[in-house]
Amino acid sequence: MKFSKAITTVIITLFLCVGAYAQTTEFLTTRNLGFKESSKVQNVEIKISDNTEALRLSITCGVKKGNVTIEIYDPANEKQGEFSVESMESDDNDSLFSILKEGVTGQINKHISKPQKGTWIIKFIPKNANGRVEIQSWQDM
Amino acid sequence: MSKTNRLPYLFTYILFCCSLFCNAQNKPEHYDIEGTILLDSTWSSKVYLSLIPSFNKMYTMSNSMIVSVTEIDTNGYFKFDTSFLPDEERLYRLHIAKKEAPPASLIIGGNDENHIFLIRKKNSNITLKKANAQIPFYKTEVSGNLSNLAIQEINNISRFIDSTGLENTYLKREFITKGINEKLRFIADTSSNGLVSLYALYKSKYESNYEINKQYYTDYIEKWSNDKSSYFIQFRNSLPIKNQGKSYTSIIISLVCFLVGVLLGYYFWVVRKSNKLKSLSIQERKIFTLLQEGKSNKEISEELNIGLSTVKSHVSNVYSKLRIKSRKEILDLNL
Repeated sequence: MKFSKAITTVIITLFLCVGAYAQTTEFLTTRNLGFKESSKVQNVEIKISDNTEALRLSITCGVKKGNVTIEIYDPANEKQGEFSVESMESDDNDSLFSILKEGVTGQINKHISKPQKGTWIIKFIPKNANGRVEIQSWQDM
Repeated sequence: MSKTNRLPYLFTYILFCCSLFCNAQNKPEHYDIEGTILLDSTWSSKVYLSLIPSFNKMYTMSNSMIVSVTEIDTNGYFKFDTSFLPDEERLYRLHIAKKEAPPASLIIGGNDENHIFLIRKKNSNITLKKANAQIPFYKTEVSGNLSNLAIQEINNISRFIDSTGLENTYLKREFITKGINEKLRFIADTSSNGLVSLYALYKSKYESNYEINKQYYTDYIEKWSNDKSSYFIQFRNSLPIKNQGKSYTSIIISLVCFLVGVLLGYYFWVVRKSNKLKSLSIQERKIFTLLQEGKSNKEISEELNIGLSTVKSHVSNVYSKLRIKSRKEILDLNL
């Protein structure tokens, strides 16, 4: 009798765990943007609904030439983070500059629990730049 | 031993001390940034030192900002010779790079955050000691310059803002963030070191606070008005308010320009007036005066004892020289 009770408890616990796990859904969105010298300011929008439990952002930008600034704005238009990457070209071949010729990268990682509902904007401001940016956003629902 | 016997020993001893002292004097001054860091195999074994020219560039990665690079040995030890760096107090950033990433790479936030900020001035040896934590520079103790202790304290306070991302409600997050920013502004206000003060202010997101706390920033600019470093110049330029001295100067310049404009306008008006009248002959000027008095051609002819056709011819000349078309315009003219 005791054994059957224990089995029942284990089965119920397993069901509850599976149920709880099934209720959490993660959406991953990846956007890749390439840019060149003539590229203009671009906004990437991320819609956050009432159901979003958490938002994780990872923005990586690499430039071979020029300057790029990435800014993150919440729905209240408040800046929540920024960084810039700048790659200068030089004919200087001293030991230090020669190892820095591979380009420049920057990355920002953010985790926000219960993010503000609305449209989050990732502003991408290139200045005569040549490179790529990858924006990854995870939303836990 | 007699006193005479001791003298050579004493002389040798003094000579030895003198040579030691001279050696110490001749030895070139040498200052370093050194420390230990424990990294896993995903990181390359190099540390990069960047000179940050302004606080706006704290989160800018540029290959032109990197001023030195050094190897990390197998024990995690690294050392920079900093004797070539500027004497003035400046903000620096140390960073490491992932093996697959270019050396000039910056990671902000998360477990891979790869940088730390330092303040260094002439005659300071800076030592970094890493605590046992997952994030590369997290909880690193920086010694050798008191300003860096303050920077660490500011970092510890501002880390609370990042941790608010885990709070459950937006309102709670806002409340905590406002409190922390207030604390950072307090540090900025009370710090006697310009760079530490600015570091705290930049961490407090002053751009979004400026509109609701203008007096604080006016007083702050006034307090640091004597600091001519590039960091303060950039900060002053980033605010809509300038210092009072500058605004008075611009008012005075505007007034002077206005007065010069008025005087020039008056001068040209007088010159033009005299030029227009000068273009008329003596007889035409007499006729112009009579026309301004509202007299008819016949009355002018009688007053000047000339024929009506002559008057008409003079009137026509006056019209063309003064570029007018009717008698009414003559009455309106104010020459």
